[in-house]
Amino acid sequence: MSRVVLFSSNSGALIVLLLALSLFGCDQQDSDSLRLTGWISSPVEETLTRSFIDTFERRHPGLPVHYEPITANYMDKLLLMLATGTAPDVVMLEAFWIPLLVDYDVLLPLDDFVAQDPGFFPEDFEPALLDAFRFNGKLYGLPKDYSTLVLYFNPAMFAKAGLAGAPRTWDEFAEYARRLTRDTDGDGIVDQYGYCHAEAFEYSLPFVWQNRGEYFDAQGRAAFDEPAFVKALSFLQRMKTDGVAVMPSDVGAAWNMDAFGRGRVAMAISGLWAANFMKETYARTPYRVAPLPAGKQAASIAFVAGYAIPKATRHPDKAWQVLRYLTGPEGGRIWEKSGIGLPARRSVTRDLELERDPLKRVFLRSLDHARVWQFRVNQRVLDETQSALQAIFLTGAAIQPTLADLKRRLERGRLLQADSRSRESQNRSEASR
Amino acid sequence: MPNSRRSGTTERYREAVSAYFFLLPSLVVLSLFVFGPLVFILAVAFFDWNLFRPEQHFLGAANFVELAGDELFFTALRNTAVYALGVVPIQTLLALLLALAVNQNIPARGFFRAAFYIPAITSSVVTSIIFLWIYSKPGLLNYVLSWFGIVGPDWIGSPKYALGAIMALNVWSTSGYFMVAFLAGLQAIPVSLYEAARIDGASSWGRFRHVTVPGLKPTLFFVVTLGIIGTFQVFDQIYMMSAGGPVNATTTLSYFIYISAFRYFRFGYAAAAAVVLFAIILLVTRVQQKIARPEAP
Repeated sequence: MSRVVLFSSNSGALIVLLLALSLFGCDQQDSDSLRLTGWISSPVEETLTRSFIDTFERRHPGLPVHYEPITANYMDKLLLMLATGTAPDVVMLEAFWIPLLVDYDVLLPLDDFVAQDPGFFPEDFEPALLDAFRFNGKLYGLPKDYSTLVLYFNPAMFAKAGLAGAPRTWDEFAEYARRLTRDTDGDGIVDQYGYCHAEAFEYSLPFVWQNRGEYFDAQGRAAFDEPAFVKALSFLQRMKTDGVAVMPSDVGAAWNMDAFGRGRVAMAISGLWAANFMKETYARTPYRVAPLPAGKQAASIAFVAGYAIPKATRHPDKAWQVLRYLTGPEGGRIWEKSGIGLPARRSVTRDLELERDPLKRVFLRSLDHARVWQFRVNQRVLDETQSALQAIFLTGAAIQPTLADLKRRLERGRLLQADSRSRESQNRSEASR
Repeated sequence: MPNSRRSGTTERYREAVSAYFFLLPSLVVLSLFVFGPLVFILAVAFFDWNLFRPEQHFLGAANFVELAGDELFFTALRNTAVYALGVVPIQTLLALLLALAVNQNIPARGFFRAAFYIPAITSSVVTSIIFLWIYSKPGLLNYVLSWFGIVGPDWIGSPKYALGAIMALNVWSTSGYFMVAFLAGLQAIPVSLYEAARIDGASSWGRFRHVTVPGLKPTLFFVVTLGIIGTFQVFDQIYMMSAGGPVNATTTLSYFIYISAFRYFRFGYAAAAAVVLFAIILLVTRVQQKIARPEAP
């Protein structure tokens, strides 16, 4: 009996100990090395980051960098890490998240570092990209690379339809799409469509801006129920109801460039990453790129990626050393090799002569009329907007009523305030009433 | 005599001590990860709880008031109700039929029993991905439908069919599990009852109606209760396959709780929704207990 008691207490203690160890083990890190994280959108990105760290460590012998990539659900994990103060010292970030994270007060302002670093040359960055990381007058991150959206088109299909170049206006766009919609094997079923539209909001926004419409106006008021916004969506929806445009799922594709690569559509809109995708997956499908067709004005959207330093870091100075290298001219040249983004620094663009690259210069020039994918609204507002777009493009819902209903829902949920703080204070005052 | 009694109490005392030692690890783990959070969530529901702030604000019932005006919450409630009402009866009936079938003396009985059970022990992430392929526009299901000249939709991409498609997956994956429960219930019914019924001249339907069904009552209660709880908590398939979309067609209550907490970082609001879910499950189980009180066979 006593043996059993002894045994059980031991095993109990052992299990508790193991549990404790496993719990604390999670928090155990090499306190000397600096932690860096990022998402991995293609294998080449990981290889480049590792080679980048090697170069960095050779130059800075006392500054080992520990790379901890997050392979899936990047923002889910990063947000939790930021909230609990366990995020790495340098984090990759899409500019999209800056308003939210500044609102949550988890990022370190970088202005002092930049000011005290004469060799960094922040004026070398494309101004629009740097601005994307600035909020309330302070800088919370630095851009690494970006991509604009452009029009991919299949020159072989264009030639067969007797079309020489890419459409330049909405009218040409719709007309070309009509001429490119064909039954190629004569069985009475259309198997090649003019255009594949992606249902994500980012892909409709350029059309809204081209039509001088706004999602939220300069005063932060919802403008998505106004005629300019509605008409842009009507234009896209009409192409679909006319049978000259499809959604990716209509032709069994995973996303719009998958449909394009399979030769089911002649035109699709995407970023520079799609060129990489075409090379890796559909090398035999010919493609060319052109600026997006213009409406009342030319417009595109830019996705900007960069790096930031969480406020909770214990090594802000060391983190800056890594950050300045990652976003410096040398880092920029390394990133450019990945082929998924364009360098954020003008000097790198110049040195690499990207203006002469027939593919990349289209993305480059689109930046002149592009706006950054970033809104100062609640995530829930964007998700509700996305649902409304799904209703419009997937079920053919009438646009004006759908958007009016969206506005009513958001107003009813009082979701249209710019940031969480004003919303929270309102909640509190209501609770105390 | 008194001596031996005293030694008896010491013995019992020592036994209790050693029993608690054995239980300690599980008790620690359970209270740390199950009971603790369970009680804690009741507190969080009354706060504006944001991980990004050091201090949390007490809101009173404001989270519940806001839930009452949140259309997405009601969409989630409706989807969850449709889900439970659709899945539970079908999966229960199917499980019962499967159990009756593999309880017969059919050839390769072991094979069928294992085959029906495999979906239950396969990771839900894996089955979700497989069904994404089956349900896709050029997928297996539409291929089969094309034999009959039917052009199938993109099942998960369509607001009309997405929820039903995921419900079908759920029926498929859990029926085998509940089949085993029914099988155990069937085998617990004494053969003598069937013999007595046969001697009394009961037909096979009569034997099923008056011996099998009453004998399975406790199992039925177990299966329906677990089925209801399971369907109210459906999450992994939704997260993997449709992310609540399209047009919120597959946003269920547990998915709503998840996005409120981990996407919108409103832990208090999510906790309030979780408390509502808890209350619903409690109520439904109570009602069901009243209707079908479990009895010993």
